Amino acid sequence: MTGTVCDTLRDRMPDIALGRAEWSDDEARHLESCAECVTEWRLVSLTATMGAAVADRVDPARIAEAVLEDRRAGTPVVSIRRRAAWAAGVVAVAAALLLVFGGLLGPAPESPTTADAGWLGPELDDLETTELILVLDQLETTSMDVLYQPGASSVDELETGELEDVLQAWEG
Amino acid sequence: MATPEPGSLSDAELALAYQAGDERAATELVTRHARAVARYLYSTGAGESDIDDLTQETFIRAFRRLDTWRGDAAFRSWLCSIAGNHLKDQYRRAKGRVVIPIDDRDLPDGDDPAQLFQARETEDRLRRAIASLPRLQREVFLLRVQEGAGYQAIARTLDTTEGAARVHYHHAVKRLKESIR
Repeated sequence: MTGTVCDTLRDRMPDIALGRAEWSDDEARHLESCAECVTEWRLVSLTATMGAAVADRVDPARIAEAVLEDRRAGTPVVSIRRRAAWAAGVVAVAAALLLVFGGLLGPAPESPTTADAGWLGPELDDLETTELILVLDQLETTSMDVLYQPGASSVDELETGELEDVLQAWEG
Repeated sequence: MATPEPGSLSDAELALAYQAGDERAATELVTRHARAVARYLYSTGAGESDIDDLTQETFIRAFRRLDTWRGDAAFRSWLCSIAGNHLKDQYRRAKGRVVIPIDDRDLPDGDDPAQLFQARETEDRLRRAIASLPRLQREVFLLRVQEGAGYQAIARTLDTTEGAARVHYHHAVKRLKESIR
């Protein structure tokens, strides 16, 4: 048999493993003699049936109800753990911005140290990019109003390197 | 005219029906694809005890952005892609730890303990190997083997080219073969 026969046979393996097609006599004979095709067939057939019993334990009706509840509510369902991560993130960003902007505006008495904010840093790893942007946006419209003074930088004006400094500041 | 039964509609028709307010269409879509999503998650290394939650979260995410589903890609493949992203997020939150429980796994029934043990070992090795593949290789391989998706459909779902999908599949198979020899 040539490599082309192996290729054709291997291309058909998923369909046959899923019961959508059957081996021809020639293909069946080839499988008896080609070690590489036998190994690949074993791999494909094992994977095609993997997890069937686990999937049987899933309850589609319950999942559908959860989906519909979520959509009826129209708001994202956020887990307690995720809410905690959000809260920690907001606090950490606020602390970090205090460090950065506090420094820009002059020496602040008894300002928090990097180590003080560092314990919050890893929580931010849990946030999605969009969530981090929301955190920054929120700070722009709330906390930053307190911080901002004429001549001071805003988050939008920070260079990439400066933003990285902010991140490093709270990650310790 | 009588409303068609959800079971007789295509995925695209069900999606449209749901968006028009028919909640039965959502239930049918979940019923139709939940098992496949669960198998996909299991095969990519999700722990058995997490499968139910991960499957539910996958569907919730999918329905929140149902309007972004391009009807040219298979709905199931699109779901698996969302499941893959969700699992990746979970791994990221767990700082890259991949935990595959070693007890109470999904294995064929058998009377021969030695054979059963060997089957478990092989499945463990294979799941670990699949979980350790680069993401595109893993997703192409599972969409192809578990869903029977063609390369063109896979390319559309994963936003890549048909040729690249073939290459990813080839590399995945090459690596995975070593895990079951």
